[in-house]
Amino acid sequence: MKVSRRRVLQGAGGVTLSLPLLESLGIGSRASAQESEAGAAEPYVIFLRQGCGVACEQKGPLTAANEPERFWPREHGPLTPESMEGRAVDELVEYRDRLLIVDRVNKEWFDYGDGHANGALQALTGRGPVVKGVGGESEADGESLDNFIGRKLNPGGRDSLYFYAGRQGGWLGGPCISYRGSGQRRSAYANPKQAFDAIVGTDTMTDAAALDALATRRKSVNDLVRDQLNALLGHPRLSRTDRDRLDLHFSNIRDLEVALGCSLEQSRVAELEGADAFFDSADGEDALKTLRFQMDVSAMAVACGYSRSVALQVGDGNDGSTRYYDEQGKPMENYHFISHRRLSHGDDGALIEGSDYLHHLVDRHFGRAFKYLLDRLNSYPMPGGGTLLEQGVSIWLNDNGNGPGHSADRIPIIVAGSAGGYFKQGEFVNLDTGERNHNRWLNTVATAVGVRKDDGSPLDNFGDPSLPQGLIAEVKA
Amino acid sequence: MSRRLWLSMATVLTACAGDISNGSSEGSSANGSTPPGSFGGGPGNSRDPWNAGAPPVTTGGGESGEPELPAPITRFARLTHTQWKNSVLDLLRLELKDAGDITSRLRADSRSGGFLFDNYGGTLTVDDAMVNAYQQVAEELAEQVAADPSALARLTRASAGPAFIEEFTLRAHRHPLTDAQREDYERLFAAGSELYGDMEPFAAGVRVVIEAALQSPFFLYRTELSGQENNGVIPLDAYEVASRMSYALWNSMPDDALFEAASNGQLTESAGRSEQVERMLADARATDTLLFLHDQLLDAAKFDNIRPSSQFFRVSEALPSYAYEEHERFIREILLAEQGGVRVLLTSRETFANQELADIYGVAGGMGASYQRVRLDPVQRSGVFTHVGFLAANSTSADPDPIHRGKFLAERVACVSIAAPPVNIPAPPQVSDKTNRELIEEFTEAPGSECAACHKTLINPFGFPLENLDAIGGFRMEDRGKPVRTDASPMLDRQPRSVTDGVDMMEQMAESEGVHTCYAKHLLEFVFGRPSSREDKPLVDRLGRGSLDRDLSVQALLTELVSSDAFLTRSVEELP
Repeated sequence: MKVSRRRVLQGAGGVTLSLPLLESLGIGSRASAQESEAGAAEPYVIFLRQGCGVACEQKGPLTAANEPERFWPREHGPLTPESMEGRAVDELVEYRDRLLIVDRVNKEWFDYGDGHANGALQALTGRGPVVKGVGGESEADGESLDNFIGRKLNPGGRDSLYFYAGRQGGWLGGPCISYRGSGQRRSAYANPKQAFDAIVGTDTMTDAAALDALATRRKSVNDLVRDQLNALLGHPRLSRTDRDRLDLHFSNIRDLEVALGCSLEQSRVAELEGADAFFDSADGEDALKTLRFQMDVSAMAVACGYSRSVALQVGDGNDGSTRYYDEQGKPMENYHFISHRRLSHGDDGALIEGSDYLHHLVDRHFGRAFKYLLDRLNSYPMPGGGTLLEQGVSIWLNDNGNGPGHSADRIPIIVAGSAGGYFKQGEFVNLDTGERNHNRWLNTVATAVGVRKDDGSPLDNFGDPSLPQGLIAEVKA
Repeated sequence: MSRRLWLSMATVLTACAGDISNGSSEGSSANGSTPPGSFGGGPGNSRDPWNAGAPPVTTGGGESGEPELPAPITRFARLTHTQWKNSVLDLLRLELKDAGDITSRLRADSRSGGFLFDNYGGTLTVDDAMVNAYQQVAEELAEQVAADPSALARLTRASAGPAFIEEFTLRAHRHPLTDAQREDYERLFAAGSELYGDMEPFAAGVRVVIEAALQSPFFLYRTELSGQENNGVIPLDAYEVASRMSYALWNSMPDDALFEAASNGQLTESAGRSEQVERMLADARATDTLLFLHDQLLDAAKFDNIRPSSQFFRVSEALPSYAYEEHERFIREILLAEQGGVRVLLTSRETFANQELADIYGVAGGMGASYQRVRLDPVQRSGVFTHVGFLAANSTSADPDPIHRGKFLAERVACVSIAAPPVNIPAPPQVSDKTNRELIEEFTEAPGSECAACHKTLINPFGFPLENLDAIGGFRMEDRGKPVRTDASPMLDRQPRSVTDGVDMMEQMAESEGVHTCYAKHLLEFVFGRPSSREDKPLVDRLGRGSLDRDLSVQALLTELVSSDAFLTRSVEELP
């Protein structure tokens, strides 16, 4: 077993000896024969996806009434407590100097046959559907950015982390934003303990001799399994579909990776143990509790250099079963109903009274959850000053611009952290071009965290090639 | 207080004309040019275990004369989580209580492309998360078994490495090993005493071999490597047939008797296969598998969402679990135990009820918390879609939801294709004194509207006949002081059929060829673990006609299916 402490001692990936939330290093750091020896601090991205749009200013026949603005800051320009006050984003006012809020990122209207599918499946892929017009049975026709970044930047091309909080199943089948390729939807971790175990490798051994023995045993078994997979890959009638799946399996067999400095507080780990019950729940509190655990593990993962890309998805394609709570602690109708302002479940009339405000409360739930993530990242100091938060970029995004209209325009994009200085900070930027610039936004994120084309130039061609290419200069510091 | 359903329209209101299709129409793989014919497969090259013992098969056509050809399918269908759990327990001869909740270690699989079942083998992957989970469980169970003399004794009678490897790995791979594979395992076994220096050598070897076998692709995937063409198809070998049979009927690996049948040539003969199928269908594992199939087909998971309003209904919070218990008992004890088929699903007047369900059904009570078999009012009820679970799960908390009831029946039971709804549907009208049906008709069936094309002809006519069954499934004759209208003309066999109410509709559906064919299509998709495709049509049509004309039971349909040429062979065409 190869044990290198270099990454830890140099702060690579953000892990240092003095991290407040990591256990003290006893033996070594993550070690893997396949792991790169990256020494410099490396940017990462964490996506937090909310569905169903936000409670922004809306008028017209789709809404309950003329709805006031409750989400976006009051004015473009520097973010101030005054500009954020009363809007859902004021949940993040403490971090205003490290935020970039991007106005007028517009998606394409692909023929998904459903506004939620168009929003969710395009969110990280920048692509239309494999089959047009099939609504809830849609699949995206391309790889998603979280997967792409993980494949390009993670040690050994390891899978990026993908988490899902909420009820399994539902519209679009539940987890639906992460794709390996066209029609190749990824599965997500719901239980963060499973991801924790995978990252830590072994959380019970602290003896170097025992770890060496374990590494030897696993290598013996892995060698046999690799040989068998290689034999299958040599089958003369292998289809590309099958080859891709076997290749994926093969590439994920790794010899012992032990992240002895990579852990959470014991109390937090203990909470994760046996907490399965709320990982598959339609209760909004359970979903948000799950999300926070997932954020703990996500922050740990980027701190340890385990993954430079994480996607967190809350709720299925239309978040159609989660019931969040109002200010009185009562469960609302499910979020999909709220976002549509539509009455059901025994309430009065065709429209749900006050549903635009309830939608705002849901937005605030997500705002507070995003702040929790930022708090976690901010608790990891970097050796050269600053914290892990600035080192990477965390993005709270939404499938749609609003609820009732399923708008593809003005998609909420709330950025925290500069990715090591790439993004502007402390501003509410108005792109205001009217173009379908979502793919350019995705390219900008990829470039910010370090993805380059083969010739070393910034990535500018991610997503549907028929849409505008290039980067968005207005967000660059 | 108004009680309206509008949210459902957000996902169901449609703007475009739907397509009506009966039976197998999905997929687009092309293999139709392969000529029909018959051939005798017989044992292949005995030195090539992947061609050993291939059963003789025919591609003889169904009743239509068209050949029942296999469609392209993955050669490496990863085990579903349920299949993996069952296979781990069977392989190690462990009880669930001894192994613990091992499936909780696996991250959930995503569903792809709207496929109904959990076993779409071509989409299930072994990613980073699964590699880690499989590894952890393999190490833990290997230690548990190897360190426990009684568990070890249950697993094997062998006392030496080669004998253990021969016996155990055949079961783990579900196929005889090649010489090279055997040598690899023997080397690993021999290294066991060094890798686990504190264990007795035999147990140490067993432990590390179990670890490897549980992570082997030959265990984790249902591998089909046969590649020799014969008369336009690729016959599976006997072990591959055994695996197909066991996962289709038991959702698990073959047992010792099935392995023996594969080994001794029994599976190469039709009579031998039939004997095994009959034996397997009589096993409790087959009932569990068929319940699992119907759980997914009838979307029993949705029962969890039943939340009737306390303003209108006095039911307990346990109603969802009561509804599921009723569903399970109906499937196990009426549909399966009594060899029922599609007609029983659609027209049985019997079910199981505890007191709360009996109250809803309006049948004599006195059963308390226990469940008793009851006979429902034949004028009010007919089959599973008039049971509490389906009705309440497809209702708002206050009103029936004829749109979702109708969509489910049209798409899943009659295989009527309905296009996706448009986005940005305008808000519905405010409260009025109209009935539920009147309001939905007004909103979705306006002449010339986007919505009417699908709702008026394809969706609503399947939902309106159930309007006399309220949001918890109770019978009603009035809605907001007006008589409930239940007449409609649902599209059956490509024709609108006039029905008077839900009971009449179910009885007509029970005589619809399209409905029987649709059920056969779902069975085929579950058995093969893939969407149906055009190659399946002759087989699906034959099964559908058998169900309609001969009233074949679920078990009989499965027997026909696993006896078909398509089941025993692979397409010469691979997936893309």
